[in-house]
Amino acid sequence: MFKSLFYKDLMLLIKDFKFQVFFIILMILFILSGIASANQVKKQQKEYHEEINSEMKYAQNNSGRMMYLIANQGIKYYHTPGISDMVLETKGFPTALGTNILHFNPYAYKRTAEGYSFSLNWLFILGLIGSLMVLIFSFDSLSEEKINGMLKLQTVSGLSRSQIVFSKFLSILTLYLLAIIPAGTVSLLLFSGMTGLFSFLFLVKTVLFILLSIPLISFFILIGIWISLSRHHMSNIVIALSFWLIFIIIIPQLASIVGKKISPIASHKEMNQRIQDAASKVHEEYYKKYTFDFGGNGTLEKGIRSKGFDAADAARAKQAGLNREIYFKQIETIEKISFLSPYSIFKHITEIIFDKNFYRMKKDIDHLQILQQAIKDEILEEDKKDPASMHLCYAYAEGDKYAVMNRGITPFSDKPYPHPEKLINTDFQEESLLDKLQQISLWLFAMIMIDILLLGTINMIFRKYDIR
Amino acid sequence: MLKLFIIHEMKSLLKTRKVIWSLLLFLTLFSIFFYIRLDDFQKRMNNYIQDVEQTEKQLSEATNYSFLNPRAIRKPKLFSIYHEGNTHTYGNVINVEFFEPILESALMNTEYNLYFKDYPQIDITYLVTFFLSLFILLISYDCINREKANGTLRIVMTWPFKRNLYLLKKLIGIFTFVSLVFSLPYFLSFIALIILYGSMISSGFITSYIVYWIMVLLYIMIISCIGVLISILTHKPGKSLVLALFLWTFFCIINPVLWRFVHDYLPRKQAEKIHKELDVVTENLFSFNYPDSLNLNNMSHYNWNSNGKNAYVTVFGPSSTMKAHREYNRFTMKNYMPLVFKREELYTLYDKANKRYNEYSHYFMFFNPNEVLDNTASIIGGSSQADQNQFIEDARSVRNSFLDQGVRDGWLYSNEYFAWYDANIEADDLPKLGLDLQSITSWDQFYVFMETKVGFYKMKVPQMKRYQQREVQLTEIFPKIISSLIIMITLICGLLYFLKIKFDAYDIR
Repeated sequence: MFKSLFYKDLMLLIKDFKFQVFFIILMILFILSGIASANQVKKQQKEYHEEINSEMKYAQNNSGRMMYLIANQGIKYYHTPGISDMVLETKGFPTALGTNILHFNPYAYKRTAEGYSFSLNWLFILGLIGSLMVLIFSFDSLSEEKINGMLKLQTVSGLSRSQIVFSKFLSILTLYLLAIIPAGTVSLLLFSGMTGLFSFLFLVKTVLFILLSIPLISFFILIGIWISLSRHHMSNIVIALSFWLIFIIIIPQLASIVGKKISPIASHKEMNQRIQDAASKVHEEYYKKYTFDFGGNGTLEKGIRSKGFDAADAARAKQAGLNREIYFKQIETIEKISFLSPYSIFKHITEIIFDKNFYRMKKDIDHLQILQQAIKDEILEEDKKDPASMHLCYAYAEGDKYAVMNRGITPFSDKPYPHPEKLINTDFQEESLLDKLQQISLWLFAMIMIDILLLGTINMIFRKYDIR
Repeated sequence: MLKLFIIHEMKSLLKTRKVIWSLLLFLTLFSIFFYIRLDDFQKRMNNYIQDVEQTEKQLSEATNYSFLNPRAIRKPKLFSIYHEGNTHTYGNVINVEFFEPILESALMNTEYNLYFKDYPQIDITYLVTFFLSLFILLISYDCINREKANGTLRIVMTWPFKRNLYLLKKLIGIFTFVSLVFSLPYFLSFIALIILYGSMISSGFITSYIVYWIMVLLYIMIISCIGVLISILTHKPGKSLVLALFLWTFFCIINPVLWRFVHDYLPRKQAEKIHKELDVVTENLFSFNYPDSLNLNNMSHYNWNSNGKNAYVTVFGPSSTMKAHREYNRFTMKNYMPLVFKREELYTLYDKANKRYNEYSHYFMFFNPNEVLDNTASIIGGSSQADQNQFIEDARSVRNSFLDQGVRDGWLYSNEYFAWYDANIEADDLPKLGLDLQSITSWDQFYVFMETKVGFYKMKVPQMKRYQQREVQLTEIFPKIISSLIIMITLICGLLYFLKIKFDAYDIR
């Protein structure tokens, strides 16, 4: 009995004008998304290769000298553009990081556009359009049947009320999957065909992505069914759209504003000033204690100047680290507030699966730190082998070299760094899918619980609902 | 009769729950958005005041000419409360430093997260294009076909008036209702601004406020026409709802997304050509070398501190060193600065060529009224790309006049530019003053001597050309927005004509 009800609901929805319009829209959007993402990735790859080659050339030609390297060059880490951009782009976060070699102090070397504009990717299509679609189907699912008398007939035919609600829910969910899967397949085929990029892992991730969208879509279906139980069905559409606007548009955007109020950052100037002051404090201490031996470059061999400058740089990096914690705290606060919206939770889950945005940036910073330490150790080892070096490792060695040049020595080794290709890094160690699933399990559980709660509540309300 | 009809239409709108819900939602959102923008504006004003204070303090504390930085600081515009435009895209401060190219604006006292760049586009224009348009469509999508479904249309049509009058009743009724819904909070917000920022209400703001209001009314008319047209084109209210929502989704979400996709593929041959030239000039600038005779690293200094290329400098050393620093400035002005000017020129040309399509999104796919309003509001509010370019040009003009003044008055090529303690004393003079440099064993001794024996160089901040912010003038913005006005009026006329034709043939049974 339930099967025939479900089948009837599904058929009615498929024949509905609404589904036909949305199906065409989704198909067009997915096709365009595939083409747009393919072209975008090809363009990004071209720019990426040009930039990497240019950076490598610069590293090999200009920074061969280790003294120059520790003064002016740094290490850069780039994201490789890839197929995951079809699902979700990096927005507002850096796609390339850099740091000095002597002291770890990561900075955003390349950054993408601002965070809140829409892009033609799968998250946009499923998250925004998909949720709107299911809401439009569900907001009058019960009220329409009440008006045309179908609800009365269904209840007298031996079906329980819970079965009616569940049938509505399941039929709309099935419709969503029927609309998404063919369109998504076409998009994926187009993308892979145009770029030549494809991996089994990515296919698994996209299937996972569609499956993970189910709790989000279920949320909106259930909200729509709940709205359809309202007595004043003429205003249902306004209430339904209000919910959609609140959860999809307003909460994510307001989260940024509220988050900045809760976790404010001092002004740009002040944050920079704190870093300068940390270094200046060390300078002043050394200056007071050692005067000429620190302030001038005539007594480099004593090592006081190099020690002082290095200590100041270390203080600078330490303060930058404290600043970084403040920046991260703000981002985390914004994220937490945005989690009031299930769309933001879904976006967060997607970021973990596809290694994007804040989740990816934190991993990048850890990776860059390991890289920086390894290169620094290697440079120090190479310097030890240079008999012309005074083995004074500090960023200002390049500037002070003129003071000792006439003696045939240099404050630090001026020899070429043997592995300049290491200065430009693009490696990325991805976690296993199982680890990622473990990380998202709590979020998934929360969303599923919300859906179950909603379903339970709707069942309770529907039990007392007047179907006449 | 029309007047009665319009009043009747407005009253009947107020009786429906969906209109009440929509109205409440819109007014709530207007209040929230206005409060957010007000708060943001106050923060920006506080930052601006800090920026100005710090700049003036730095200028007054300058110990020599190289420390002068008469920054160009853009004051927040009151109208930015209604329309964000490029307010947060670009910084509000331009450093006017010696010998440095001015390419972009920056931030000074503004809060800025180094790792995450975002600014939600929450302003009144967003509220109008995103929410008010939805509101209009929701109240108008079934204004005619629901009456037909209920059977009341047949009855109304038996009254002795033309069909066009009925159509006008619907259209003008909805338009007047929505206009009042928007105008009331808009006007109240103006009162609030008078109370809070009365001294900042200028003629420019009033011009922007009124022109913006007119543009929004035209926008409301367009969307009202679209809503009524949907109601005529589809016979069932259910179908017209789907069509209305599709159109809203298309205008608000899909069209901008598609535009971003298309925008990247529009031809930019001119920009590419300029970029190649810019690359060459930039390379020349970065690899610029000074002759060996001016290699300041090889010279003896008692004091040499510098923050920039040749700005924020203090120098003291033997006569030859001081002379080299003077010649260094002269060489920089003669050989380096022409490259700087060329780079600036090419950078601006490239930026304009590269971004030339940015504010033409409304020409994409049948003149999306949302994009027309958005782009026009940026021009009206003085927050468009052209205004940002003008800001940079004005800052460059300040810098150039500053350099000209330095050359004309002579301080750019004198010790006064980088003076440390006294511009008139050179190291060779020190023995005459009783200082035996060989006997100095610490910097403190040296400083004490300099303070007691040598007079301080008293830096006098010269009268400089300062940045003057431009006000929005009607005579300036009108030629820029005339094309948008023509588009909107043409859209309205076209829609009205189409409505008339369709309704004349509409089956009311």
